[in-house]
Amino acid sequence: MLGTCRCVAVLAALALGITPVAAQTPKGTLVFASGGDADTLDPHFILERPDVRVSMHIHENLVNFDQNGELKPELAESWSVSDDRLTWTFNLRKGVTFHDGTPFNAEAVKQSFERILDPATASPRRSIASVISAVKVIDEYTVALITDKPFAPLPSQVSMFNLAIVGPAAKTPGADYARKPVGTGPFKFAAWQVGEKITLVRNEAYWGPKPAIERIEFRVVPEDSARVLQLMSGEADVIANVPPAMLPQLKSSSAVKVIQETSFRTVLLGVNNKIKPFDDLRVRQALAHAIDTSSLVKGVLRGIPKHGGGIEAPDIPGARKDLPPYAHDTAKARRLLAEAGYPNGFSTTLMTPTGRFMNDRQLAEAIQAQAREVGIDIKIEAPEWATYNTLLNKREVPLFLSTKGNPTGDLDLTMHLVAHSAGQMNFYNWKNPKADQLIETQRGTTDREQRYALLSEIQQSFYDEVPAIVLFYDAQLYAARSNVTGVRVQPNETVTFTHVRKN
Amino acid sequence: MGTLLVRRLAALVPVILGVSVAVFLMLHAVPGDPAQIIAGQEASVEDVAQVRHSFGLDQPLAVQYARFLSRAVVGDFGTSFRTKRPVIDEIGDRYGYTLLLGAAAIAFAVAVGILVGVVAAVFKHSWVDNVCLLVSLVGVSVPNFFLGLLLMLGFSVWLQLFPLTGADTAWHVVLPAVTLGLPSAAVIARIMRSSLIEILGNDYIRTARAKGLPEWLVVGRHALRNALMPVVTVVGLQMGYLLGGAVIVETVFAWPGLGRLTVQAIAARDFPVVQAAVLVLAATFVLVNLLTDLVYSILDPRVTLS
Repeated sequence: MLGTCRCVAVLAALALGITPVAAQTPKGTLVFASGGDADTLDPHFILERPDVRVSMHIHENLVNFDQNGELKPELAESWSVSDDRLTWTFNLRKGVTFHDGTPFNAEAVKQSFERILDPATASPRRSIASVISAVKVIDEYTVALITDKPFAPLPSQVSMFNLAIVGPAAKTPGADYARKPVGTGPFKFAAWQVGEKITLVRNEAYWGPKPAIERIEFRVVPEDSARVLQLMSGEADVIANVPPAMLPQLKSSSAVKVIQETSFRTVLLGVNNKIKPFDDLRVRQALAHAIDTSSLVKGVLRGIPKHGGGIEAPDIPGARKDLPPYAHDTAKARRLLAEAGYPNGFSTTLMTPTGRFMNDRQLAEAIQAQAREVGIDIKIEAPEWATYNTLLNKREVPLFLSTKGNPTGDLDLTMHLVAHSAGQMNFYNWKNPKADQLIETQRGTTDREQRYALLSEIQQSFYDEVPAIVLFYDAQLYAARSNVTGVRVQPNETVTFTHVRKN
Repeated sequence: MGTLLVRRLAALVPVILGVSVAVFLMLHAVPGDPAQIIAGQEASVEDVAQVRHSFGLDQPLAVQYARFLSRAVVGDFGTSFRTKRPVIDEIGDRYGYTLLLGAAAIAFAVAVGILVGVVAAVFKHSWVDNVCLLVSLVGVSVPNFFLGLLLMLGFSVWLQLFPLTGADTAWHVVLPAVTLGLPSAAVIARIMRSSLIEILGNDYIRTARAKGLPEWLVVGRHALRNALMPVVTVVGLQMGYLLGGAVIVETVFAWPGLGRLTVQAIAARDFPVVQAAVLVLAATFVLVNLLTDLVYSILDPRVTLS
C-alpha cells in the first residue's frame, strides 16, 4: 500500500507525458544511482552488492567470466593444472601496474591471497579462499595455487569478487585500504563522500582497451521513486532496481530505456524438511502441486521473471534446463495430503522478508491464498531483515521465502552451500548422503562434462525430493538515458560500465 | 545564571548514561546476531565465529558495556562493524548535515509559521484566514515522503529550479528543508494565530489602539512579543519532532544525515554506530530543550533557568 502511494507522484508525471528538459550530466561522466552506499572497497571484506559494483571497476581477478558465463583471462593470460590436480599454475599478464605505480607480478598475487588467508586479517570471507593451502612464486610472472585436495572449480573460484588482487598498498599498516583501494582495473578510486557518492576516474595507464568515459559517479539514492525522477530529469544516466510498477511507463518514454537482464538468482519457497508434517515427502509434493508458479509470475511479478523447476537458474553453465515447475494440480495435492494423513489439511507458518526482493510480501500473500485451496492454512510472519536472518539460521521456521544467487557462475559454490547437508545455506535441513557424496566427488573431477553430469544428478535429487519449491528466476531491472550504450548488467548481479559510451 | 547553565549542562551526564545503558540493553535484547548479519547468509560457521570474535561479541555483556563506557568517556566510540571506520568519523561525517537540515527546516518553519499565523490572526474570520487555515491543515496532514516527491516533481523535474537529491551545494538543502519544515510551519501558524487573537483582545491592546498607534506597531511591538510565548514552547517541541522526521526526508532526498545512518545501522545491527548515534541525538535533544528555556528567559524576564 505504502509502496503504491510512493509511486503515485512519479506515475502521474509519466502518465501526463511530461518529458522535462534534461539537465544533462557532463559528457565524459557517467552517473549511476542505486539504493545503497558501499561499506568497504577492500575486496577481502566485501559482502554486499553496492560494494562489489564499485570495487570491480578498481580491482581485477586472475580469471573472470564473460557475458555468457564462460571463463576468460584477466590478470592471468593462461592457466593449467598439474597431473595430481593439486597445483594450479597461472601465467600472469606482463606490463601491468597498480594504480600507485607498483608493478603487478607473482609476488603481488601471493601477497593478495596470503592476506585474505591470514587469520589476523579477520576477513569475513576467508572461507572463500580456504581451499588454497599455499601460494608459490615460480618466477616473476608465474604463480601456483596449491590445494590439499583436488578442487576442479578453482579457476571460477578465483573469479569471486572477494579474491580480486589487491595492491601491495593493502599491506602498509594504517593504510585504510577500504577507503583508498589500489587495484589494476580500468578505473582508479578518486573520492568518497560517505552516504552520497563515490567517484572513480579513468586509469590512463590501463593495460587493456581504455574506457570511453572519464569518470563514474556511484550515487546513493535510497528511495525508488526518487531514482526514477533522477533518470527522468537527466541527473542520472543509469539507475538500478527499477520498481516493476513503473516499467510500462518507462518503456513508453523515448528519453529513457529499460535494461532487463536475467539473473543467476533463484527465488524459492523453502520448506523445513525436519518439521512435521514437511518431513513427509508427500506433503512437500502436495504443496508444490498446490502452488501455481506461472500465475505468481504473471499476477505478482508482471510476467517479468522466467520460471522453471530446477534449483539452479538455467543460465548458469551446467544447470539443468529441462526441469519444469511442478504442475498446478489441486486434486493431486489433496490426494497426496490425504495419503500422508492430512485429509483436512493443516496449519503452518511462512516467514518472508519485506522489500528485500521484488514484491516479496505480496508473493507470500499469493502463496497463502493458493495453499488455502488445498486446505493448508498459512500464517505469514514478516520480521525485519536482521531478525529474519537469525530465525532462518536457527532452522526452526516451517516455510520461508528465500533466494540464492551465484557470484562465480560455478555450480560448485552454491550446490555446496544449498544442497550439502553441512551447507551454510541449507536452511531446508535437507539431508541426502548421496548428494553429499556427489558434491565431494565433482570437486575432484576436472573433466567438465563429467563434472556437470555429477552436478546434474544432485539437481535431479533436489527436484525429486522437493526440499524447497522453486518459484522463479529473478530478473534485474535497470534503466538508462537513451544516449547511453554499453551498460553490461551481469547475471551474477554486478554491472560493468567499462564499455559505456554516451552519444 | 552562569551557574544555573552549568548545572543544567551537568544534568546531561545522567541522561546520557541512562540512554547509553538503555540502548545497550535494547540492542542486545532484540533478535538478530550482528556477526551473522555482517558475515552474510553464505558465510561459514568459522567465518561467523571469526567476525564475532573480532567485534568482541563473544565477551560477557557486562564486560562489553564496561569496555564501551571506559572508551566512550575518552571520546573513543570504537569502530563500525560494517565499515571498520572509527565511529567518531562515521557520525562526524553525518552530524553536520543533520544540523544543517534541521536548522534550515526550523528556520523555514518559524519564518513561514509566524508570518502565516500573524496574517491569519490580523484578518481573522476573513477569506485570508480561511486560506491560511486550509494551507496549514494540508501542511500537517500530508506525509513527508509524499510531499517530498511532489516538491521534487514540481521544482526539480518540471521547473528545474532545484537539484533532486544529494548535498553538493547550498541549493540542495532547500527542498528537503521545506519538506521537513512544512508540518512544523503549519503547527506554528495555528498556535501563532490563536495566541495572537487572544492577546489582541486584551485591554492594553485597546489602550495602545486608543492612543492612536498604527495597527502594525500595535501588532508588531505590543502584541507579538507576548503572543510568542506559546510559540516558543511549540518550536522547542517541533525541534524534537524534526530529529525524528528527518529519517524519512533524508531517505527521499538522499541527504547524507545522521537519521539515515542510524536506521541503516539498526538494520545491520551495527551496534557501535547505533550506540553513538543515539547518544548524539539524545544530547542534541537535551541541548535543544535548554536552548528553548534560554529563549524563554530572554522573551519573558519573569522566567529564569532554575
